[in-house]
Order: sequence, then structure tokens, then C-alpha cells
Amino acid sequence: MRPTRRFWGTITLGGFLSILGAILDQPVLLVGAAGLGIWLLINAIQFTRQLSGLLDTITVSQSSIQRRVSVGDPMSLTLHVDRGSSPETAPALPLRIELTPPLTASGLTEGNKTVDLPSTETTADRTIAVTPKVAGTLEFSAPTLTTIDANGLFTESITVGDAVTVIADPRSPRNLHIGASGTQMAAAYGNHSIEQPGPGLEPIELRKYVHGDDISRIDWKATARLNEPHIRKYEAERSHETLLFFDQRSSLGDGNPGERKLDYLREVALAFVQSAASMSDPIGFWGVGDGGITEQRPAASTPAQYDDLQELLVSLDTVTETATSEDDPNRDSGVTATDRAFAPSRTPAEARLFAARLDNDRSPFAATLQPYVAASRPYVERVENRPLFAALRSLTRELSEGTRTVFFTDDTNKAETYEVVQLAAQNSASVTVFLAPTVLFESGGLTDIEAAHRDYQEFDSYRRKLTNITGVSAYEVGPGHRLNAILAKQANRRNTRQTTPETQ
Amino acid sequence: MTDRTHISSSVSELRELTPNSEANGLQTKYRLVVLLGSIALLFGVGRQLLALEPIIAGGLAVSIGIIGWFLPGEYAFASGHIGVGIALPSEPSVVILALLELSLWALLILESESWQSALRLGTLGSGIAGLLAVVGWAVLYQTASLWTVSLGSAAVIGLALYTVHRYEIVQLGLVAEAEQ
Repeated sequence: MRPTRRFWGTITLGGFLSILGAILDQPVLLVGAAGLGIWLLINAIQFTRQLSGLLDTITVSQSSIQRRVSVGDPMSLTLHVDRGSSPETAPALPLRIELTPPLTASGLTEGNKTVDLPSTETTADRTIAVTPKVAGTLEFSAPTLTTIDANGLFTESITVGDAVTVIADPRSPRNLHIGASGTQMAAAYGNHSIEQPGPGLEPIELRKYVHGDDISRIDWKATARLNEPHIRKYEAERSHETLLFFDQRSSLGDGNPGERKLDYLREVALAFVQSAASMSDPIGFWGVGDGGITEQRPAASTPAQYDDLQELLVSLDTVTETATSEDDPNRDSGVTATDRAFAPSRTPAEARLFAARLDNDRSPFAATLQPYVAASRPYVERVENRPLFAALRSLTRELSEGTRTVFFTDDTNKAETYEVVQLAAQNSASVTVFLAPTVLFESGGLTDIEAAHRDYQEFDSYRRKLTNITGVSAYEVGPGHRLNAILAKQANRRNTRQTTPETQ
Repeated sequence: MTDRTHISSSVSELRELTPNSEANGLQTKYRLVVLLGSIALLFGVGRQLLALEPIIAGGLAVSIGIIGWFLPGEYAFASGHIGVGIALPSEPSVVILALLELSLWALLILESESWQSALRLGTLGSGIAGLLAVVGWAVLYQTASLWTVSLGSAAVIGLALYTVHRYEIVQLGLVAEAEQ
């Protein structure tokens, strides 16, 4: 119970009367002073009784439907107040219930975080949109109830109800889809046998001992059981060296914050590192930005390497400036801004077909384009100057027949990627390409579903083209919900085609 | 818990949520009746029994009426006592004193938000006042000076207020918060 200014004003009045009565020798003034004191006292008693009764009946609850929310996404917080049934003789107290938001949440103002319940009303509800600003635990402490007695002499603030805790997750890729033509990929990596006999742990065959076999390889239990010396052959196992090539160019920054192409591809790359760590496989990493190589970690299978790569991937971002690596072999490789601006988007065959069409075309449009085609530099020269291609070519000596090369890129530089994958396939045991389709990362969502569907089909045909290269697997990586929306459109179209003839 | 500055700033806003907040107590028509009745009682008694000059009685009545109308009831209560103190003879009879106090208490009860509340307030106030008057006042008045009476009354009321405050804290389970 906290006194208000009016309480102190009354006390002052009483004190004044008391002193005046003593000075003037007038007992009636002391009676007045005592009367004011008694009045304060009975108000205090009455307020205490009212408060006690109120707390027995009142229900204050705050709740949120969501238990987890991403940073920046609004969540709703609902406050419900019900003062319950109070005795008829006891006048209801006016109530103000105030939410106590954490400092890391925005959206609550002085105006909307309080709910006033006048004496004449019984219930009140309010729903407020709150947005977490940083990741972590958002704890909305129990609301504070403030009330005042009928004469404004005392106030009281009491914590009522329960606290609500909501987890604010950092914005990160959701609904990660890895697959091909819309079909989710079951597993991209796992235990790796080479299906050849050799030293290992998995037995594959039992055969008779022949002269020249190593005696130490005799399986004595089988020999005792079969009465002839036998040798058990084991499946040979070896470690796979994996080299990750991560495209960090500006186009990989497409998408909403935390849900960019790079963020989705990062999740896949992290899985590769974790898989390599669990099998003690050597793994290396090369990052390529707009200016060339940005990060390079030669393959190694030490715990420090796995930790380093995980840290590197977690902090990985797009690199649009010139190369940052001191020993970047492409720093002076002649990659100009013009080269980057006019990145080849066609394969040599497509370029030749395009030039041939222009030759046969007599329209003014074709006449305008022909000088550009004629003056263009040779295709190979242009591709060779592209960052990813240049980086891979400088590292071909790092590749070997046992190396598994994995690319993380998008479909922006199709011709370059195609050439890079071809080159890697010639120098590696296998090549896996993870592509982030640009159509799945358009800002503002899928506003034009028809156009998105066309773009996805174009992407998928490009992905299949990569898969046709020997030893190459290509997968799409992106938000599954967007891909499903596009595929649903495709399914609807098929259904329409099937039903149309029937109706006719 | 909300800080005290914030609480005090919201006191006036909270007061707005009480019924009859505009009249600040009982509804205006009852307020007028009670105010005029108490002034008439106060100065009718004074005029007849205390032989006040009409101009003094009228002036006091108007003053208390204005104070009682525009200021909270406790100011009318206090100013009424000052007026009575000036006009009253040194040895007033108990009946006269009781009548005067009754009219002045009516001014204070004007602050109540309902008749039920006023009745309860009056009953409780009479009980406490009677107890204080019978047990303490008479004894102190006979044996000590008014200064002692004044300090004694203040101490008793202060102690009673603090007791109610501590009782409220314990009753509502606010001990830990109060200690903070």
C-alpha cells in the first residue's frame, strides 16, 4: 500500500490542526485532527479488504499461441483479465494491468501495453503484436496490476498471473529441400565402400587357402569347421577425400535475410563437414567470390580442420569485392568488371546456334546484334577468366581420382558452371553439384506463379543437363514450401489437361 | 514491479476509472444536499447555541461551503473545525460537540462513492472515534496538556496506519517485494 499525494495532503492538514489546537488551546481542533487520522485509517482498512477480496477472485492471464518465433517475425500476445464475482456491498476497484515485455522485443508502447478495467467493467482482453529484435529467450514477466482506493489515498501494485516464455530463433533456412525435379533426396552421403576386396572389417567371402596366400589371413574358426584351411576376404574400405567449392559471389546473396541462397547451401555444406568428421575423412574447402578465391583450406582429416571448417561455414557470407586471399592466384588474372558483367550465359553450342540464326536473319534487330556477336571474344577465353572456373583450374593438381568434388552454387552463371563441372568430372572420382534455383529465392515471394513455373522448368532442364555429364550428380537446394507451390501449379496444369478431353 | 514514479503518474488516470469520478464522490445532487445540510446544522447550532454574530456565522458558512464544493472533503472538514474552534466557547457541552462533529463528518463522507460505502465508513469511523475518545482522550485531557494529547493522538493513529499497512503486505503476500 503506497500513499498518494492526497494522503500526504491529509496528513499535513491533520498535523496543522493538531498544532493549531495545541497553540490556541482549542480541543475541538484536536478532535478535527484525530478525525482526519481516523478517516485515513478506515480508508486503509477498507482498501486492504477490497484488495484481498479482489485477489481471491481475479484472473489475469497472458498467452501466446506461438512458442517459437523467428527474429523479426511478429508474434501475438494476448492478455485476458476477469475480475470475477465480487460482493455487491464492496465497490469494485479500478484496475490497470500492465504487460512487462523484455527489452529485446519491440511493438509494445506505453499505450498498448496497458489494459484499463474501470470499476463498472468485469472483463477485458487485448492482443498485441510483439516482434523479437534479437535471438534468444523472450520472457514476458507476469503482468503488474495497479489499483487505487476510491478516495485516491492509496495505490498498490501486485504481480499477477504467470510469465510467458517464447523462443526467438535466428532467421535461418526453413523447410530445407534437397533433391531433384522436386523430389526430396533420401541421402546424399553415407558409409562408403568401394565394393572391392581388400583390408577392411566387413567380411564378403570365404575361400579355400591357396599357395601364396598370407597365413595371417587364415580364418581359423572356418578352417576348424570345414576341415580345410580357409581364408576370409574382407571388403576394402578407404577414406574419401572431399573438396568443397563454395560460390560466394553476389548472386548467392539473393533471398530474404537469413534465407538466402548462401544460407541454404551452407546447411548442406555443414552436413558434409559433419559427415566427414564422423568418418574421419579428409575434407577441404575453397570459397570463390566475385574477385576470385576468398578462402582455401587444403584437405585434411584432423579435428582442428573439421572445427575450422564449421566455424568458417557458419560465418560465411557473399564476397563482392576483389579477392581477399593474399595468395589468390587469380588476383591478377585479368578478370575485369566487364567480364563479370557480361558473364557467358550460353554454352558454346548455344552461342554458335545463336550466331547462325543471326546470320540468316535479315531483320534490323539481327543487324544490330550481329556486331556484338562478331566482336565477342572466344568463349573459352571468357569462361577461363570467370572466378569459379579460374579457381578450379588452378587447383586441378589438388584433385585426384579418389577425390569427390562438391560444388555449391546457383544457376546464375550456367555456362561457367557447366564448364567447371566438366573440368572437375575429368579430374575427380565424382562430382556433386548443389544448385540454388534463383526462382526459389525471388524477393517478395512467388507473385507470378506462371513465370516461376517456367523458370523452374528451365532450371530443372539445366540441372538434368549437368547430371548427364559422366560422374556428375546435380541437386536443387532451396525452400521446400516455395518449390511445393510451384510443383502444385504443375500438378494442377496436368490435372486440367487430363480432365479437359473427358469433358469434351 | 512498476517503479514508483510511474505509479504516481498514473494515479490520476486510475482515478478517472472510478465511477462518479466527475463528481469525485457521491453524485452531485446528493453532494449538494449533504453539503448544505451539514452547513445548516453546523451554523444553525452555532447561531442558536453559541450565540454567534450572524455575520460571522454566515461568513464561516459561505467559506466552508465554497471549500467543501471545490476542494476534497477533508479540507472542508478541517476548515469547519477551524471555524468551530474560533467560535466555540472554551467549555463546550458534549451534546453540542457531538452535533458539530456529526455535521463535519457528513462533509467527509461526501467523498464516499456509494451510500453503502458511506454507511460502512461512518460506522467504522464512529467506532474508532468512540474508542479513541472514551479510552484515550478523556484520560489524557484530564491529566496532560493539549500538546501531549496532540502527540499521543498522532502516535496512536500513525501506529494504527502502519499496522494496517503491514497487515496488507502479509495478507497479499507482498513481503518479499516490500523488502526489496
